[in-house]
Amino acid sequence: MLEAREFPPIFLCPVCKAPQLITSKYASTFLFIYQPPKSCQEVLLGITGKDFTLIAASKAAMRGATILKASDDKTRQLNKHTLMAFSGEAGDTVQFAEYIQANAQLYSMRNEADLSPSAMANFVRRELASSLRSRKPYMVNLLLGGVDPITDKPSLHWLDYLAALAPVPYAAHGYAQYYCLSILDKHHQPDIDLERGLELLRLCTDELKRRLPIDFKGVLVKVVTKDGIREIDYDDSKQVQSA
Amino acid sequence: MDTLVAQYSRPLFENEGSSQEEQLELIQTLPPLSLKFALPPIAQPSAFLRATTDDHSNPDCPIKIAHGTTTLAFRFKGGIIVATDSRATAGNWIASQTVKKVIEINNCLLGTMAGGAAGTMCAGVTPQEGPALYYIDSDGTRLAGNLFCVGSGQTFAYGVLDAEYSYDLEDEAALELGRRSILAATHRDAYSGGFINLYHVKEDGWVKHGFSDTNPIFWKTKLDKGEFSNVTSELD
Amino acid sequence: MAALFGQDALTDNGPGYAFSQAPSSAAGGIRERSFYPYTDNGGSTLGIAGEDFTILAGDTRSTSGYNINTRYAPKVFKIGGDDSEGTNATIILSVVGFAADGQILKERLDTIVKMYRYQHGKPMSVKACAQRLSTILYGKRFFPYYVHAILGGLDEEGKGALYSYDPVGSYEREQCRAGGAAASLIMPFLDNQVNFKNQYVPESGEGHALQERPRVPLKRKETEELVRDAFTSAVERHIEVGDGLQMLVVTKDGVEEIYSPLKRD
Repeated sequence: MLEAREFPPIFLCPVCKAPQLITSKYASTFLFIYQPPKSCQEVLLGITGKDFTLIAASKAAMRGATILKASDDKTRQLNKHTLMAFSGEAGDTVQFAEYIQANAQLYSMRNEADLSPSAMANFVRRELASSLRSRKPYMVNLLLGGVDPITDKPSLHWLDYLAALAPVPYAAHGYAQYYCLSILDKHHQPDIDLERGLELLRLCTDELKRRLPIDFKGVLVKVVTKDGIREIDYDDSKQVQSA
Repeated sequence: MDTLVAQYSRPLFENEGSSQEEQLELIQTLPPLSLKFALPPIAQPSAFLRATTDDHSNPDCPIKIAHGTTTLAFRFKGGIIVATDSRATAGNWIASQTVKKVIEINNCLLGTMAGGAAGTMCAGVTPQEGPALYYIDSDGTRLAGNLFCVGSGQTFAYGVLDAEYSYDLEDEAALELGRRSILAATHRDAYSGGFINLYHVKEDGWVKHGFSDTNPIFWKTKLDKGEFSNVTSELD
Repeated sequence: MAALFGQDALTDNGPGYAFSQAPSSAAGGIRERSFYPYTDNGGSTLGIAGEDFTILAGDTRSTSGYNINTRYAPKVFKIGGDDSEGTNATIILSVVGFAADGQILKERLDTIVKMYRYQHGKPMSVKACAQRLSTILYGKRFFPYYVHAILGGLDEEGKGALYSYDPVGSYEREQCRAGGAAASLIMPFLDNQVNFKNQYVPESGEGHALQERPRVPLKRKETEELVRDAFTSAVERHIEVGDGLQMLVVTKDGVEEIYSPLKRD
């Protein structure tokens, strides 16, 4: 039986010192799965309000020391009122997201009804959980934002690469967690309108711009309401003043 | 065989009683002005120290030194606010909930401490410099600045502090922001908690603004202001 | 042991022993030895400061791994008395962890406090002694004493004073503290029973209006009972605690020693 310390290279994240990757992803026995490098530098944010769910995802697509694209869309629409944002290992993310998207659409066609956001979240969790116990697990962190088509209630589900699921009023993945959750703890209220939601998002992205050592190239913002999903014009050009 | 014996044996009674040096040391009640640090008798004392006391590189280390913290200090028009939590942890064990992490150096100088390799802050007023704030850490960095948060909960404190910080804050608002930032860190960082220790450094010296339990402050903040909406009693 | 004394026998000590590393031969005939001069001798200590007294207590079991070395090894000592018995001492110290380090620490502090009395003609205050103990421990910052020390006495106002230390001298005055193997079993009990943590006045309100039970100084008799309860309970659930309970109580009349048996299994 192999023990954790016998795995040869464990890469430590240069900032958070957390173990990032283990080599024997393809080995027959493995005990630990770590997050892929760089995934903690990707920003995913979600905020719910009285009649909407906001999802923001960083626009940088990073490989090694390079930003390959500065207008990346890390979200996929699953049905009329469910949106999924993802970060994690290159390749896995889009592959998994589009697999879920295809199945969500198949369900909608077969049943002439959409899965509710919470049903969708539980489906995604189950898929990720079975993948985790396969030879090659998907390493993807997810946020699922939606508005229930029957009750019109907005919802947000936080799901990490180990398939832990939590319904929350606001959420973040990666380093954004460390800076934004405390801001949202203070300023978020369940009954806010979209305008206030965007103000909160601005507080969060400003803080990330101010304190994160890497440039994540701004965020792409989408909002889910009972009328569907739309992209929101979000100005990222302003330089943030530091204290 | 004789060489072998010689290699491993020493003259009889060589270490009987205390040496001259040891005896001298014993008569000295006061510690020497410059501490003579004892070092392990091996080539790499630093490796020994790491193996025995650094629970980050060796989670099974026998001696766990307490650390994990949130401390903050910021300059504003009314002086400097200094605030800390009060938790000390050794691994997962909460060693103390009542640590005084603000050091009252004299009536117009304060220091903050954070265990391990984390930094420390010095806040004080002098007639020449006015209110001054410095960040210092164990590898020798020294930075003058307006706003610093240090420790495992620093990012959470920065989040709340940056969002509403302004140099033109009034005294009451500044104190409340300092308090709220530490509360944010104690809520999200498991290594921070206990009590909020709050100080205000003014032109004529510092004033202490309490050592207050976080638990009632948290519930008051949540129930009166509707903050912390993620904390619910529903289990759906 | 083998590694320390350069013998090749007894290399297979098995787990649980601190001195189990055997010397290994490196290329070129240079012998490499591991240096690990620590072991944990188990046991537990606890201290409670009252209105006009301080109690320090410790069990008397000494262990090496699963072996019991002795059933009577004191962990609580009088500091700075007239003689080696500690007559007229006003300060007490408990040490738990590595017994050899604890012993030398006790002896160093005892000598210093005695020398202080000879040189100044008055006993050292607990406050001064507490600071001095911190300095001793910090002097070994890079080769620490593997001990958790607790110091007890009466302060300038005659109130019970208790100071607890981490291995490198960081210290704090407290009302109560448990140290050693069963610290994680005893400390939460003390938080609840001495500082009344998480105790509220019934029907005093809802949510944050609920009032905390007011703290009152403990009486000597009930404190002794608390100490005994803490140890009898720890003995039930921790293998390194047992055999005997040694209590030292400092009052204005001096230091009183109380010994009572604990389960020996």
